[in-house]
Amino acid sequence: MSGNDSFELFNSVKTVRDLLQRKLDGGAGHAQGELEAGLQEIEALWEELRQRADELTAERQRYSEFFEYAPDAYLVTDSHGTVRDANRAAAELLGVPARTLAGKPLATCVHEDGRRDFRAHLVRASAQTDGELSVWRGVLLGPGDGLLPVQFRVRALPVADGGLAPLCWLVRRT
Amino acid sequence: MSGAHSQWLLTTVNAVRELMIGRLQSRSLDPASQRDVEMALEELDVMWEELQGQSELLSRESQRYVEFFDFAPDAYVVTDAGGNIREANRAATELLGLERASLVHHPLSTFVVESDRVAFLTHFVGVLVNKVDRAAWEACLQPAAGKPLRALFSLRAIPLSKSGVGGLCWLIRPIP
Repeated sequence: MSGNDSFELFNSVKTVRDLLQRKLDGGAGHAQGELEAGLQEIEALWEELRQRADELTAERQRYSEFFEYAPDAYLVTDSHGTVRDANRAAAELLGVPARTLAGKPLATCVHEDGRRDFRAHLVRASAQTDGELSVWRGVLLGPGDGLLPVQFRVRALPVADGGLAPLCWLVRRT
Repeated sequence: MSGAHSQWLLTTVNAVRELMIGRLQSRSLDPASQRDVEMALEELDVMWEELQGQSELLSRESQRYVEFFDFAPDAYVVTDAGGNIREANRAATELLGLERASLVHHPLSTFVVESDRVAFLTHFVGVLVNKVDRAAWEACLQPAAGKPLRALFSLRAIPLSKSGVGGLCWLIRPIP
């Protein structure tokens, strides 16, 4: 979700309010006074609602920056190791734009010789649903297929329904 | 945090909607006005569903990033430019041995053993003076209770949209 969606949210709010105002101006007859008082109450609630939405948007912005500017490469994958999110340091480490990493199995960034070992670790890490940290070493393919010895530090996110947990990865050169 | 916000948001949305419906239905209107008002209410219902969907999305998206921070594999703290802790994740509370509320506002350097503190602050000041946007160095960490341990401090600055530093992101990792 982007700033666009929250803009749409405010827009919908405004549209509904304007619509009601129009209907009331036109068709409420003798009930006008009462309904106008109702609209005023609604406007006050609406203002509060807008402030809450502003707070939520600000919170999202703040925490997305904590992800984006984490000092080490930070990736979030599904339980099979397919990248969902990657931060700046991850893009810098691998030498590709962050958006090109989304949807890619992280194993494809691992040097071929270590891929089987990587997958075995990945399976064990995604089975660690108690929040325990999994740590192992491997070799990534960096810019120009250069070899990057790294340490993977992986923790599964808690999931309410016992389903497949996304994995948080911090990757640091060793 | 986010969950509470979202709950509040949806409760408010429902309160507003029901209030409006109540106001409109309690009035006896002529048939033409009644029809107009009913149509307005139907439109309101549709928009309300959309609005609820959007606010849920906003809240979920926010919650997702909160979790990325909170469950980051390593101790993660965010400080202001003066090095005072503003945010700390779970791993940080475990490593430093204090609850989040007790960590906030403490200078991060108070968790460095005294004999290492000048070196730590020298690194830190160097980062600020030279406007470096990332750095890493080792120092001896002193948790609130227990023995000191060697740790790697990595930091990266969150740029402000105009200039200067919006905050400093620190990962702290014990060195085996």
